[in-house]
Amino acid sequence: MFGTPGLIDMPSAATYDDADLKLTFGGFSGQSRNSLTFQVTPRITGTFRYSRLRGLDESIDDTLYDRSFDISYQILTETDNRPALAVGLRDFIGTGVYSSEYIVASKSLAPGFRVTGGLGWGRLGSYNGFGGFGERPALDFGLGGTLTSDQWFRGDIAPFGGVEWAVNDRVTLVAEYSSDAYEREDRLGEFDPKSPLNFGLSYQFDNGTVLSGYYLYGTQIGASVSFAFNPRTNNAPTGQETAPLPVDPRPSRISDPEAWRTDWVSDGETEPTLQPAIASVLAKDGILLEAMSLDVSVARVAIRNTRFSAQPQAIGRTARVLSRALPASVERFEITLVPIENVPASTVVLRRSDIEALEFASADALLARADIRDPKTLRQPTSIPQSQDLAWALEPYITASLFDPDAPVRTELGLRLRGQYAFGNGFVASGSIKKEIAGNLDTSDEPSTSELPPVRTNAPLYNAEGDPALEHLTIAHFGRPGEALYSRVTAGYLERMFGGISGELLWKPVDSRIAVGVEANWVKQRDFDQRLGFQDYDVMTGHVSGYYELPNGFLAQLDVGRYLAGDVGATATLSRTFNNGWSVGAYVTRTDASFEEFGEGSFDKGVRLTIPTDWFLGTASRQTRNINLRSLARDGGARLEVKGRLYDQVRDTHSAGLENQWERFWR
Amino acid sequence: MGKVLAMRRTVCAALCALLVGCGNDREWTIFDNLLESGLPVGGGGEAQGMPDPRALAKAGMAQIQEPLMIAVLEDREAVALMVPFGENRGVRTWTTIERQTVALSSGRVVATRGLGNDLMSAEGPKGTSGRYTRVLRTINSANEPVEVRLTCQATAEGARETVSLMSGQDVTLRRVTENCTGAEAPVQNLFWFASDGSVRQSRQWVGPDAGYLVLQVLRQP
Repeated sequence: MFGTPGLIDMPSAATYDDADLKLTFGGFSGQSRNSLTFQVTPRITGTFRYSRLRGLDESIDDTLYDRSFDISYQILTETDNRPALAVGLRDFIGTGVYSSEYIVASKSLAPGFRVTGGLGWGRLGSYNGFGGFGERPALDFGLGGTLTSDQWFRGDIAPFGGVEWAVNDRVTLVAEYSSDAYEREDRLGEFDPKSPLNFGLSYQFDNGTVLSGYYLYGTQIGASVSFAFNPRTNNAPTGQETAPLPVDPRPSRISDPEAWRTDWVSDGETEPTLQPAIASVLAKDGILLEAMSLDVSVARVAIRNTRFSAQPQAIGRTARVLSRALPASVERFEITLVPIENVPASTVVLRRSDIEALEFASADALLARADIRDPKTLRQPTSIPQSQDLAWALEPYITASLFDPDAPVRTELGLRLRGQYAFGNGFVASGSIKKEIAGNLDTSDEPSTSELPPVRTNAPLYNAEGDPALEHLTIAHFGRPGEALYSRVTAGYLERMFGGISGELLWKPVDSRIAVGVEANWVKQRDFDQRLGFQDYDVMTGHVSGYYELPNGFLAQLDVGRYLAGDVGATATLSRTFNNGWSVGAYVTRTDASFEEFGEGSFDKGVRLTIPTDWFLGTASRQTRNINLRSLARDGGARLEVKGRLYDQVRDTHSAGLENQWERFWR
Repeated sequence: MGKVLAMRRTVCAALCALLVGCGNDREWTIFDNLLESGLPVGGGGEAQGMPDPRALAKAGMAQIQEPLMIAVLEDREAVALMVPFGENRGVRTWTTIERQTVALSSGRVVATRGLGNDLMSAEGPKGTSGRYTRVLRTINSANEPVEVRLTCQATAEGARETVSLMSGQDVTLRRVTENCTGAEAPVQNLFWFASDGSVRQSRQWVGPDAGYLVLQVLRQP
């Protein structure tokens, strides 16, 4: 019921499959627990939980809404001769309502029958405990949100355990002995546990959804439902896009010497005829031909991939088209990826002979013979004026805001008009206006009571007055000032709460794990009605960012600088990106804003999920959905939300990103 | 499978707010891609009643003058006509009208595209003598290659059999049965050879999701 691998209230030493994401909703009698658990690595399990505990907020005698984080590590895996052993911390960084630590072992005694036993501290040491190591300092809930490390593994220790029996593929029975005495709930009269024994029954559906019912503590009935996702597996079949064109191999010189002539290069006819033909075939695959130059033996093209979530797939389709269209004398293809206007990010150099020879071999055979280079080190093709520069859409939207203590779920439904216009030479204008149709996002309009400048905590006022709202209106310039360098300047109404000017420079060599960026912004706070006006508050913010790509798709990022409220500090982020574009990450920000100034939660932390649309639809798409679960939106550690930040835009075009997705080259 | 897919879509839609709208910057909607004819893409969708392959074959032979092949995906009860699309170093790619392709090397399927969970590549010896290994690669939804290593042994039926093609023609062919282990269930591929050594008909396993593909060459290239 806690969402983590375990019995009912008690944990076990089991883990989920690597990269499993489990969303669990459960509860009983005035307590509800909703959690998102991610199997970060095969041994590390992390959980973000949002709980509702009725009657537990002593000061207001109201319902306590609590956010907490758990982490556990499986020290030993289970083998024939030994149990699995794990250690874990529950609620190690929240307000401490569920604060506990444990060490636990689990072993399957027979197929489908597993026994678990462990020792708990803190809340898990509250029932029938015996003296342990030192005193557990009383929980100073304070503002919550801090690491309660001086408590860990201190105080009373209590044993807990249980058995799980998988009756068949679908049904599992569980019995456990709980070491959680529910002291606080008992004291405040909400809940009166009569027995430490809990029983449960779970039913698992085909798609991994599990429905469970429980009889708890001798007095309560509880239930939970959990949904399972795994970014690495999926039910929708991959590759529903239509087949690519076959490679057209060149005739041998002996059988057709005419085809190998080289005078086409100077006849003034061949290239101008080929270019629109190639452009129109590529356009059918959502690939825009941005530039092309042909030479006797080298073809240089620059493409923008608007459809495939994996860049190598766009490169492969382009290589196939070139093999069909170009005269035989062209042996080398230099295909440049242009993810943003005027920013050629990488060039993949391929030999046509390899394309012809390896069409039906596995994709890594071609990767071994491909060369990935920085476009600034190579001659670039001539730009082709793009006819259609204005892109617009009028579409409905749904926004949800969760975890507000007053109303945990607020939603808004409305219409959004957005557009983007490319002037050429790297200048792009972009704007978006929204109009609410229905929703309760605007019903809270309390002004901020923050001690820091209210840079984010006036969100309710923005929600209430911004209707219609100019979400953003900017003109931006993107460029490549030099080798391994990328630049961005954005001016205008940058986001819904701030307008001004934002500049960024990124150093990221094509084949390096390391990147460094610097961003500087001067912004002024916008009026709550999100029209064209501004308030008085203005601030200079900026960050120096370091990025390090670790194996297995992990990215470590550190941003150091000055935030919107004028506080100075750093944000550390660790994320895992899967080859299909899924990304799960956690971040923490600490600044010189004191915990008191920050307010509830003490400092900003959260979990970010990115879900590629083509993962659950199966059809080709470059869109992604972002979900940001944060502890609380406060004013400390707040960063400007400007669009088009460089790192994410170029990441999947560089070596590591291309290699991770290269399997899609021939699709 | 359709219900599972529908449920997953509902949950994801609730979490992730799929949008439908208008403009020239439009994304495909989920409804765009259900292919009307040709081979239904795997996983979701109802299997339409399979059109009669013989009628389809006869109509195809009459209307199309190019080399022609008929393909049946057993698990999805789907049938389609295919014509040659390209050839590279002895591997011939055939396509359906909906641009789904199958690549054949000496009669063996070495790649499919557009069927969903496609066979990306297949490696193994050309012949069918003795015991040999074949490696099939598909991509999973994490964009990781998934390899199936099959250990195969082929046996030739001695006698020739007369096979009645879907187009009505009768041909005399020699059958070879290939039994392979290494996948979740044993794989049995069947090949019918003409006297010139080409494969006129076959039933081949093309991957864990797509299952068996039956191919019959109606008019030879």
